[in-house]
Amino acid sequence: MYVKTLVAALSAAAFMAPVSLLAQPTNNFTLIQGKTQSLGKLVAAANGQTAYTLLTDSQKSEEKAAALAACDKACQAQFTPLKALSAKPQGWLLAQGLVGAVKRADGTLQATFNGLPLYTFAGDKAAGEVNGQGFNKVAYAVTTVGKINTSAPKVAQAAAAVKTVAAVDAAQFELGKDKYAATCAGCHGPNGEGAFGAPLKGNKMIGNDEAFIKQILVGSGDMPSFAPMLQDADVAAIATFARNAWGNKLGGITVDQVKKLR
Amino acid sequence: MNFKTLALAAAISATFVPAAFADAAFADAASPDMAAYRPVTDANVLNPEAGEWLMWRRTVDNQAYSPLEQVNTKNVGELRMEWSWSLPVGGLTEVAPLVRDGVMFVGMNRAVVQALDATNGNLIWEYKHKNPEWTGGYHASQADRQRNNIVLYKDKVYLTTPDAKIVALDAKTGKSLWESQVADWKKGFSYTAGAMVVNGLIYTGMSGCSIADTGGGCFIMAHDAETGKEVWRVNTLSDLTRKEVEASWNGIPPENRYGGSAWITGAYDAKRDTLFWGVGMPIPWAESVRGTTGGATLYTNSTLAIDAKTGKVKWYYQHLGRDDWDLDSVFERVLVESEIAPEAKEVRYMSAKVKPGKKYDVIVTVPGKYGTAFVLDRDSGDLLWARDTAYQNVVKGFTKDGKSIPNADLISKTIDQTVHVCGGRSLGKLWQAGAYSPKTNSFYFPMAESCRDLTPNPGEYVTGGALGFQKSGPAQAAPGETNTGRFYAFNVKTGKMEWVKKQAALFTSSALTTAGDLVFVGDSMRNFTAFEQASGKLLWNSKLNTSVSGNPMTYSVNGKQYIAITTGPHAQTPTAVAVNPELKNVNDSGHSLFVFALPDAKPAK
Repeated sequence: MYVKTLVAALSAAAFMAPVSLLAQPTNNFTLIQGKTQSLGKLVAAANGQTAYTLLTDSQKSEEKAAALAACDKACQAQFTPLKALSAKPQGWLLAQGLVGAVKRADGTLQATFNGLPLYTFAGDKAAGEVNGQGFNKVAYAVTTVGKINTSAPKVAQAAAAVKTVAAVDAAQFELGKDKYAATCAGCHGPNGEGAFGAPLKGNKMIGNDEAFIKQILVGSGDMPSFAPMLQDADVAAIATFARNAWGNKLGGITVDQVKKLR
Repeated sequence: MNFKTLALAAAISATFVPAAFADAAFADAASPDMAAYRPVTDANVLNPEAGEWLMWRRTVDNQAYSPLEQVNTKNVGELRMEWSWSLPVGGLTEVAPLVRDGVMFVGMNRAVVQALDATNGNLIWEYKHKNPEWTGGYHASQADRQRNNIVLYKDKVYLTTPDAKIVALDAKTGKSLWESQVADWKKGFSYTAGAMVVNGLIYTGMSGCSIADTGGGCFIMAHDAETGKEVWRVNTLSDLTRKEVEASWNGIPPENRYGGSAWITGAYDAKRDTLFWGVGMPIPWAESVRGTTGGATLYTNSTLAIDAKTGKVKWYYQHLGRDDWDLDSVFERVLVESEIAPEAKEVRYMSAKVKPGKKYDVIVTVPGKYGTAFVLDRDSGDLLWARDTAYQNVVKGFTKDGKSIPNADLISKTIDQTVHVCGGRSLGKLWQAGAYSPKTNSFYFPMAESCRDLTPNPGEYVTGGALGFQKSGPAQAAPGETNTGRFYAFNVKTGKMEWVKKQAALFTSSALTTAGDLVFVGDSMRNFTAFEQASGKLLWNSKLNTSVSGNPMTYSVNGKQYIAITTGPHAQTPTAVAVNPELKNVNDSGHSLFVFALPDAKPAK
């Protein structure tokens, strides 16, 4: 066929293709999604160093005053403003709409995430370290959805704790079975195998009580909020069923748990 | 094969023979002789035999119109089931059966294909693709949805897979001849729509570009039909030859752009050797999360006219810029020749350039979930006319030269601002394709009409996870409406809405038009229905086992016309229950294929 066509086409492809299939961050990125053992995913500088927000930048005057009192010049000098590569800096595997920059008094551009100016910490020597977390109760890591993460770093356990699961109420399970078939199976499959919606069979994420209840009540993405359609008892029953059907053994959910989150 | 035996057997079965002959009648011995299967030529692709159906919408113009007329408005009331078949795969049913030489080819979820005897459903061969273990929720679900079309070409069946491969099967045996790994499924790329194959090239659109590791663009591609080697690709999110494309991303470099999945098979115009292909929405859905404030994010929500040999984008038309609502203007592009004379009271836009009496080669499309219909000139990409169908508030209007203007009031300014959007998000136009009839010069399409609240909601980028990042309230009926199911018929020349069906049950299958003046469609309450094209009059209805889904089609074997449809779960059905709780839908299993014919239809000889 087509030797001529193919050559012409290949040259066209060579021209159009270079932007495709780039998997790794390039030099264009100011921020990336950082992964840490102790604080989970967070916003990081392009080299993987953890990015912190300082309460000394807080918009709340009381919080700012307290932070300035707690962190003197020597303390502040431990934190270097994270330089933005441009006025429109880029974030890799981060919601780009939250990535921004502010101009500092000295004219340099500092990266922000969800409006929070970001710094790196002198005590972090490698990607993934979080030695600045909670420093003088002023510096905190930032989650990938732009929230300040004030939790203490998790210390790695020598042995994983044995997690016990809540008991499963048989009547609730049966009710859940019916409600699931009527309301959920269309998207998640009659056997939780997933279809338009995510698979539930073997899905460990639904083991998180609060997150799973909220997912049903609030929805996200293509999944609508089922709060208007389902009573608390229905939600608890469906959650209990899905967490304990098809080989799942993730324990029951009580009506009270749902009530608290609605 | 033994045509004679088959004809004899069919003749006997059709005439209620004595019991002594019944065994012979139902022996099913004379299944099609696969050795006699004729390779599909380019001439067949461009002008298929009346009784055949070789690709998703039957012809390269995507019309889904069959010239068969044995079943027509006078006798459709007598239509009855001829045979049925349980589909071996679950998930959402979006099956599009194909027929050639008396063999039905059925492509299903998880990349399973079966070849059946089109006269009785007997299995001839089955191919089961070996899928990898999926790594994420959304990623895994791709395998169970939108496996809607395979395609026949030469001596092969071409299959696109959820792990982003093109697979060539031997049409006679179902054996895999080669696989071409087109993109890295581990990043999220997947095929959810099938190919168009003509003139030795396989044309496909990539999907899954809403998943975390797919940054850098989505693609429409050509591969060599013999070898599977890539010939060209168009990046749907970047075009370095057009400044306005690069400028429309608010400074975001190509490698950090997401979305633009081309997940519905495009149309091919032989005269122009041009493909017309739709591109989906940008990702994340909301501009405030996406970081593209003010930018149109080309080529998302556009029709692309692509030179079929070189992959050069000849022109583009953007149906919806600054999409903040996941409205996905990717659906079927249908090629039609028609005079264009819009009635001012019917349309929202009409081009001043239109010449009365002139026949235009146009693209007719209802490209996005919001239901607005567009008619574009195939040469220039100019908008000739546009009209709303369902109530929508996302397209504010059009400029004088026909560019659509998005409603900026409904674009969330901040990540916590909720907007009330009537645009069919999760309950609007979807993959169910419309059908065109040259007999009425009208386009018939199913959709749902709804509104809902949307709020941006940034989330974490997780491998295999989707990046929509927007919360939605429950579906609501549009103002003044009490239900959401719609089936519309509009005239291509005038833009006039000829008729509309409104009901609580969603129309859940694609449409089929035939020379018998019929249009077929199915709904979520198990109805498979034939309407008269001109009047919309209901002429025939059959209650099937579960939601009618997939793509109805018709074919003929030995002079007998058959009409086929699949059933099974459907994605929007549970959403519609928010508006009409009385809908009792059968959601579980039941994935099936039903084939109908007239009781007195006799074999040709």
